[in-house]
Amino acid sequence: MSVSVVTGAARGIGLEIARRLAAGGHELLLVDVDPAVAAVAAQLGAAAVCADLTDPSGLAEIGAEVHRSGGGVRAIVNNAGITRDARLTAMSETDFRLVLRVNLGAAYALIHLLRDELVDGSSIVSMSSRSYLGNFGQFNYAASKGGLVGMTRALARELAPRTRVNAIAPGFTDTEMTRAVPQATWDKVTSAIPMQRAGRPTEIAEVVAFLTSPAASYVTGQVVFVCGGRSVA
Amino acid sequence: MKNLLLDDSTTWLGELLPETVTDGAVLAACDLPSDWRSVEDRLVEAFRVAGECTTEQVPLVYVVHSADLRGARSALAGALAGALISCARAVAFEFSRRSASANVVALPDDVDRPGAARVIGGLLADPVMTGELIDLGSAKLGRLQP
Repeated sequence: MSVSVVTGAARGIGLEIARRLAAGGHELLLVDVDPAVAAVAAQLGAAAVCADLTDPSGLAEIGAEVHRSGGGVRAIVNNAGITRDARLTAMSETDFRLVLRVNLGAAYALIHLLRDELVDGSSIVSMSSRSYLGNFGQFNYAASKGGLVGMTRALARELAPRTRVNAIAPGFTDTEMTRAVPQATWDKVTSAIPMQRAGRPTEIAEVVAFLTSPAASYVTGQVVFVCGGRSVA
Repeated sequence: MKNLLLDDSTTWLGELLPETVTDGAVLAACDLPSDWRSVEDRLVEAFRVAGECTTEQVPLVYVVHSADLRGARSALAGALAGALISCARAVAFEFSRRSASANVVALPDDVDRPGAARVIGGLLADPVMTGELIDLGSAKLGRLQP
């Protein structure tokens, strides 16, 4: 049976994506640098690889696990990502490179690694962000997420008709990371969202489930904004 | 400050930019990247020049290949162009004075070079717009912009 690879699956949005795809019948290979991915995989009856996607040996482990499964790849969900926010003049080159490598370079490397394993009707979904439209203090993050959008467009043309390639641009989402912001900041951010609240990881996961399903069989090269309307407000 | 970081595909721009342009920076990324490292290195240069422009509060223009807006050349080229568009949008947030701007100009293969130089020179001379993508080709017609 073909597998669906989900990166950054140990927590947050990635965890909900893994749960949703498992419920939808996907055979999963979950990847995360956080060892907690093993417990998540065990709960969902999935395989797990604890690996750093920017490390060639980590990618090799994923490739080996996919080969072991023997059925090719049904979906790749590039969800792993980090932030290192700062004003541009205070941002270090180290943090700029790190965010690029994790959020964009690793996604490219994973697709490059698995592209010949993609089965007919397969799907790639990359987690961009509404921040690719620009955001204060996120020069590095915006660059990486805009890069994912550009890569998505190119791969949609390159891999059609065998594989559909799309991106999702979530807005402010209720995760462990965003829960750390002060309440006043939370209120200010959510008040600017037409839906008047943060997104839920399950709401992102639903769109991933759609894009990786036959229901989206004519959708490729697109960016789906899941941001409560913030991108137009 | 005037800083022209051109690549092999855009060396002509150095000769055609209006002499009246004395401030600002242009970084071009129209050459087809051969590997991830070349994408990363070009984006690091984009990061450095954006920092300089932010400090000096002078205009910045990134130049990309028009075909890369539609992913027509390669995944890496598309990634580089997409990243630079977002860089321009992000740095536009950082400019505190109305004298500075950050934009992207996309050039097709058959670009009218003097015309393109005038557009880029105009963006450096007059910060009337910021955070914009200006695609000088006609291939964009009927297609979605990134």
